[in-house]
Amino acid sequence: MNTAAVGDPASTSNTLTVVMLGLPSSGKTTFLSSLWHLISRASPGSELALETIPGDLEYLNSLSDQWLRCEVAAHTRASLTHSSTLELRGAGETPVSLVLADYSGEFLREAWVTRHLAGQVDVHLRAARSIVLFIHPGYVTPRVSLEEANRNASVLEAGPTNQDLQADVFDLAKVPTQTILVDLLQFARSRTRAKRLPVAVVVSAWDLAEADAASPTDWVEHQLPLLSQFLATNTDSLPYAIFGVSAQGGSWEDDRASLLELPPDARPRGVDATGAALSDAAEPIRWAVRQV
Amino acid sequence: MALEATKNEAAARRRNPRRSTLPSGQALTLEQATREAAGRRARVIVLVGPVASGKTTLLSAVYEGFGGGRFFGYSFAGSETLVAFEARCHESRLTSGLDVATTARTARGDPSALLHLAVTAAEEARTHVFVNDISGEIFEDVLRRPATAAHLPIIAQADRLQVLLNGEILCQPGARDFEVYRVTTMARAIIDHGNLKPDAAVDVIVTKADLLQDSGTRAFANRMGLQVQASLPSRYAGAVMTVCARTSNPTIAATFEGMAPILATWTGRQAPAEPTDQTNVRAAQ
Repeated sequence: MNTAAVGDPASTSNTLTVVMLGLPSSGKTTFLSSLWHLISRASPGSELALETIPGDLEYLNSLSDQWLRCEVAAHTRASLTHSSTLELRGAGETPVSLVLADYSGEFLREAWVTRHLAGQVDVHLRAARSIVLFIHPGYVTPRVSLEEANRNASVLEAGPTNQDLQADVFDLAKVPTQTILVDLLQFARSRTRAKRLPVAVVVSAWDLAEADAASPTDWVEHQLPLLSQFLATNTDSLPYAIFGVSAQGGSWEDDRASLLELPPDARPRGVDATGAALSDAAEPIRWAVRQV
Repeated sequence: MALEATKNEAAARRRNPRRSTLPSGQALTLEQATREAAGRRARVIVLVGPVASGKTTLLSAVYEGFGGGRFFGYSFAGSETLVAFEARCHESRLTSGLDVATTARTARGDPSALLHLAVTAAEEARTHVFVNDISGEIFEDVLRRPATAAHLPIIAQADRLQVLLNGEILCQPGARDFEVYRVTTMARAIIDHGNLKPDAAVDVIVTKADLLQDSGTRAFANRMGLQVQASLPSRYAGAVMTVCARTSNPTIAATFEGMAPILATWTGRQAPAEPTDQTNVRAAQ
């Protein structure tokens, strides 16, 4: 695997650029850690197995170190991107060169606010053949209307309202998560050279959300309804699948000792759009590769 | 659809390989909207009304409705003006720091500024809806000098002109007759001087239904709406509707009450009769 600052990815017929998008703390890096573990251990000849060991493993080795010890990975630093190229066995006998482009969430949120996207990211978006969109249930900014808040407050018998307050200045960084994600997908779609841009939506830390929703689809529909509608109405240009993935396998703060008792392969788990268990946590990438 | 441009313009914009700037997400100029509409099914809605008649609140409420889920049978399919919508919704959100929802007054600016929503209903192709958000002050100018309507190019693009009648003022016996006069005159000025298309329709929307205290007041407000409509050229006659875009008194009218027929006029299609998503239903109760 080559891990480096982003350059213009080679554009050959079997090169697939998969761009990983997500706001801060959305679970991209942890997912990448578990994905690398699965890929590096896959049986030769199986789908997503390595064809060739990458020449530079510094970044992924550091991720593996933290992930295998159940320690929180350092977040991808702001303004930093990682582009990793994996020579893999694709579906059937086809070898693929999978370029995984990973950006810090802060970087993407800043892009939403400033409306400027570094040229290096744009290079990847133009080459993108698939998107993996990460959403962490614990880091979603909801859309809360004052009407709804006041209705809840009246149930709690809160005090009288103050009609003379001055509104805080509108801050683009505080808008609901669903709005930012829709806008990022719209932008990605406008930049790619591909006619169709498949989107694998990964609800990360699925163990935190599964008690509240029957399936990842159900969770997205209720927690991010604008995004849910947008995906459902744009399947011609943005075919999609929703997954729930717990790349850590549980809380490393609360369950670390019990997780360390498990073999690493057994820790990550995931479900498909309907809530049915996945064979492994790499399925969103497998799906993205198959769509191309 | 009145907006016309070649498909090539929109395609060229998408192809520009050096661009690494996100679209501003702000209201579109007429030229930008024209490019966006190229080759698509599009509708232009022009909201007309005095200052504080509820134009921006109505516009924001539609976006807020989609933010809670499918909305009266329609689904959100995209928007090129998400930043503009979010800014307009700010003072009705908890993040504003306010206790009571309000809507910031629209500043004088580009009188052709348009907000964009793409929506679908059932299996139908999507409709790109462009709605103006013009300061009421500009319409006050039109009221003083009707000929200035000729300088509002957006009027000539309108598929639907929607005249807003402030329900709050209709409850004030000392003010309501003059308000009806003002709105009627404003609408007539725009129709006569604004180069409205022959096939456009003019609707009258009574806003702030949550302030129409009882059925008698509501019936009166509806009569006032019909009166405004009757004063306008009959060839443009559209619908007379009453809406509560955001309630201050849910015992009188719920948020989003009356929104379904307005959405139908915006899209030019009747949505299937199906309820909104649960989140919206809750908000409407």
